This record gives sequence, C-alpha cells and structure tokens, in this order.
Amino acid sequence: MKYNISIKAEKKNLKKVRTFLENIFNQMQIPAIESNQLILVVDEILANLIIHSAKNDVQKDIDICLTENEGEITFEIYDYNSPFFDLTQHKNANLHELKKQKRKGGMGLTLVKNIMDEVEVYYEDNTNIWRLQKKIPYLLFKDKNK
Amino acid sequence: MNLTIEHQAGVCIIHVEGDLDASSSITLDNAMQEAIQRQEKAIIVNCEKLNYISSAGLGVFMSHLSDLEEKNIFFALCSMNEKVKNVFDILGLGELIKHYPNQEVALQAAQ
Repeated sequence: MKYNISIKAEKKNLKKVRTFLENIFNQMQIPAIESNQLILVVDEILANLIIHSAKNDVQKDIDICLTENEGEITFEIYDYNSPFFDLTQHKNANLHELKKQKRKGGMGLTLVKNIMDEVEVYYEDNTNIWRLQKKIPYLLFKDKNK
Repeated sequence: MNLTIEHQAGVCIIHVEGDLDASSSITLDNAMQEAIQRQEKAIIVNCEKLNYISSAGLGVFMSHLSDLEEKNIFFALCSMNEKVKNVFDILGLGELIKHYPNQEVALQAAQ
C-alpha cells in the first residue's frame, strides 16, 4: 500500500501530517506506541526541513510518501531545491552538552535514528530524499495470519 | 496546545494539554521562562492531558535545566501517558529530568 501527502513548509502543517498518518496507522491497527513513534519521526524530519531547509518559506513544497510492504514501513520525504544534507556528519545528542549549552534543538535526529531501522538521505536533482525504514513485527504477524 | 497554571502549596504547576510540537513549544517556553523569573521555589509540569510531544517540546525543558539548577528551583514532570513517556525514555531524559507517576507524588517530592 502506498500513501502520499504534500504540504507547504509551515509549522502549522505538522499537525495535518500527524493526523493523516495516525488515520492510516489506525487502519493498519498498529499499536499506539509504535504508531506514535512512526508519526514522531516524520514530524521531526518535517520540523527540521521547515525550520532549517525551507527557513519557513511557506511557498516551498514538501512531499511525504508512505509505503507498507511485508511488514515494513518506509517513508520517503522530498526536500526540493536544497543543498545536500550529509547525514554522516550528524552526531547523536549528548544530553549533558545540550543542558550546558541551554539548547532547545539537537535531539530530533537522534530520536529518528534511535527509532528507525534505517535512515538514509539520497541526493538527486537538487533534492534531498529522506528514506526511513522500520519493520513492524505486528504487521508481519498480521500478514502471516491472514 | 493549552496551558493552565496553578499554584498549590507554593509550587507552580503547569498543566499542558494537547500536542507539544515545533509549532506550539514557544508557548510552553514562555511559561517556563516566566516561572523561573518569578523565582518559584518549585515548578511541576503536569502532562496528564498531553497527547503528543516531539523533541521541540522536550528541548524546552532541556534548555532551562541549567537555570533551574542555578536558581535552586525544584523541577519535575508528572503524569506522562505511555506515548509521551516512551519518547522521554528513548532519549534517556530520565537521567536529567525528575519525573513522577502523578501530581501528588511530585508535590510531595517538591516539599
């Protein structure tokens, strides 16, 4: 199954995407904790793109594609007309450092990497394509018992 | 997201309701800042009606921890639901932020 949603790069649209995903995961009967984690990772990437990549340019489009295949959830998030984002340079958050620096940011990507099985960024045609994958045991179990 | 602030036994309790994300976290940030400036002796954030939290919401707490410590203000979260607690735990925030199962226990700890 494949699902798509497009938004303008505005923080107020974060809720719209969360509701869209929540409805799909409810239909799939994914347990609440896993569903919340999946919604969270997309929310984190989108918030980062809206603030840092689009710099709150509300004309900028962001596309989100969700695929479910054999118990695996894959998100692809398209960040158009952006310089390459090198994920290999990202270091996981050091909580004590963040506290010392009184920083509000710096934990989002760590959450994403801790939750998902695979997190990759591809760069094609001036576009960063974020691909996030996670196996959901419940979906595999459900498929086997069909 | 909605915030309600009450005072009980000399403790400032911030009740957070709804979704705490990159869009709404500024409201909580302002409330926290004001409570710290008022030199409250204790601040408890009651998360009973908090439905969702992202790193932007958790970042608000992180950014004030040093000031809270410096000013010797007791700070804790309470009544997190399973989803919110799960996000809190993934980041290992229990190492830095006190948290209690309900407001009563948090108030006792603040005394």
